[in-house]
This record gives sequence, C-alpha cells and structure tokens, in this order.
Amino acid sequence: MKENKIELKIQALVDGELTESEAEQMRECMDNDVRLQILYAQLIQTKDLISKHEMSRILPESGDFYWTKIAQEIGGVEPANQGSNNSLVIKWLFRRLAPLLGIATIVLLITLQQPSVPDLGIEFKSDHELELLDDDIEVMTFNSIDDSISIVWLDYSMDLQKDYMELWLD
Amino acid sequence: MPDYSAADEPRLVDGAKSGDMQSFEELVSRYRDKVYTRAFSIMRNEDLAVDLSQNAWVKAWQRLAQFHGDASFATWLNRIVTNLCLDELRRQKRLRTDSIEEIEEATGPVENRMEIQEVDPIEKLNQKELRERIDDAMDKLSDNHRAVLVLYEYEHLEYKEIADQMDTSIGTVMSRLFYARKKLAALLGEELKREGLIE
Repeated sequence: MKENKIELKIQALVDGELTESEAEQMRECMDNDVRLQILYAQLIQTKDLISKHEMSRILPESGDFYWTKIAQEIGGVEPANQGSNNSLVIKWLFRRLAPLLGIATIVLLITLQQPSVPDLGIEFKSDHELELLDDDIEVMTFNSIDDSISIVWLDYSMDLQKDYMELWLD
Repeated sequence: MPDYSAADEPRLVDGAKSGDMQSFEELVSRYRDKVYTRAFSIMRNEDLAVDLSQNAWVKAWQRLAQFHGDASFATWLNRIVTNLCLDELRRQKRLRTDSIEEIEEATGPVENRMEIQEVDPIEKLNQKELRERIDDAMDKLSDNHRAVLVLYEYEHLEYKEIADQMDTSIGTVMSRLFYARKKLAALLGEELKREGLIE
C-alpha cells in the first residue's frame, strides 16, 4: 500500500469511515509502525481541536436591517405548503382556466352593456341610400358589390326618439 | 397577538409554512447568527457571508414545505447556506486560477508529515484564545480545504456526502481533509511557537 494511501486510511480510521475489516487491517499496520501511531494520535488531537472550537460570530448588522432585506425578497412569495395538495390542484386549474374565464367574462360584460336599439320605425330595403336631416345623428355606410352587402352604422344618442328623424328612402 | 418569542420551534415552523411572516421573522431572529457563522466559516468574507446567509433565508422560505423535521430546523438551514457557499466558491473558482496549494494537492502525494504538537501548550490557552487561534489558522487555508473541513467537522457530513456536495471524488475529499488538517496543525504550531508556548 502506498504511503500516502496509508495516511489517508489512518485518517479514515480516525473519522470512522472504514468498514470493520478495513479498520482491523489498519490497526494491524499501526501495531508495527510507531510513525503511524503518532499520526493517528495527531489526527485525533487535531480533529478534536477543530470540532470543539468553532468560532461563533455575530451578524455585523442590526437584526431589523437584516430582516428587512429578507422580507423584501420574500414579500411577494407565498411559501409552498406541500401539505395542501388541494390548493395545488386548484392553482393548477386556475392557471389553465383563468384565461378562458377572463375572455368569457369580458364577452359577457360587453353583451350586457350593449345598448338596446330603440325602435325607430326604420325599415331598410336594398338598394337604398340613407339620408338624415338631423345633425345629431351620424351615418356611415359600407357597400360591397362583390359581397352584395350594405352595412349602415347609425350613431345617435340613446334619448333620440323616432320623431326626431326623417328618412327619405329612394 | 401571539407571543412569538415564547413560541416553540415547531409552532413557528408551522406558522411560517402557512405564510405567517412573523413566525418566520422569529425564526430568523433565533438563528441568524448561526447561519451567518456557517457562511463566514466557509467564505471568510463578511459581506459575502451576510448576503449568502440572507439568500439562505429566502430559499428556506420558498422551500419550507420540504422541511419535515427529520433534522433540526437549524441543521436544515445550515445545509442550505452551506450549499449556497459551495456554489459561490465554484463560481469564484471559475474566475481565477487554482492556487499553488491546489495544484500541489492534485499533482503529488502529501509529502510532509504532520508536525507533532504537544497537548499541554494548547491547554495553557483558554477556550476563547484557542478558538481565535484556530479561526486564524482556518483563515489561511485554501477555500477547498477549508470547505471540506467545515463540512466534515462542523456540518458532520460523511466523506460521500461531501464528495456529492462538492462535485468531486471521495479520494479528493480524503486528500483535502488530510491536507487541511495537516496545514491547520502546522499553522497552529507556528502560532504557538511565536507566542513562546512551545519551542
């Protein structure tokens, strides 16, 4: 066995890292070698010295300041609680369903907020041009010959009644 | 309002797990020096030790669910801060060349025998003085040697666990540990000689 390897084995013996048979083999080696016996004693002494004399230190800044920095870091983070599997499932579902729920909510709100169109007594017929006398009502039209459609936008105040409108249909 | 300072540790841990920041703050208050001490033992730099110990608390908060009480809360915390310190050492090592010590360790056998010191002179020192001497000697070790010594002697990890944490072989751990002890004993001996406690 190489000398260096023997020294490391002696150390392993001191540290209790050898199997029983390996430990026995090393003890036999030591019996015939004073130098190894001294090394063994020295390692025990050093190990004992170090392990029992760790220098305790005190944080070099105030506890409040130290905590404030930690609190800032964790402020927005909830600790993951492994015990509540239900909450994990809920979070998982929420992450996936939230976009759909959001879109559905928006559509619902838009639908509910649509003003009901008052009955103006206007009948649109094809190939007619729309004219209005009242300046309070704006009209935009879109005609597409290819698609055979005409779209008319009427922009008017909700409180306008049909009495205020006059239409001439050609 | 509950008296956090009087609460026992399991209660505080449970409170923190359920999101109670005050419970967690009390845990920080109880163990901040211990966590800082561990970080400093490895890094030997005050600012880095403060930063890494704070990062350890943040990680602990995020991973509270993984703490099941198998070890004590302090031990669990020390493992977190130790890992962060080893990560930092790896990061630093990438930024600089290996020290002569490490080259020697990697390329050749441990040539020098441990110097034999008498126990008596050490006993002449009181505990505080002895701690200071050992701490000074620890300061002079290379990062890798000091880290392996801290993990073995203070964190009580086995060779295999240290090898895993440091991404190295058990043989390297054994070699570093031996070299670190040898060097520390020699440094301590020099110090005692200088002070006239031994010849």
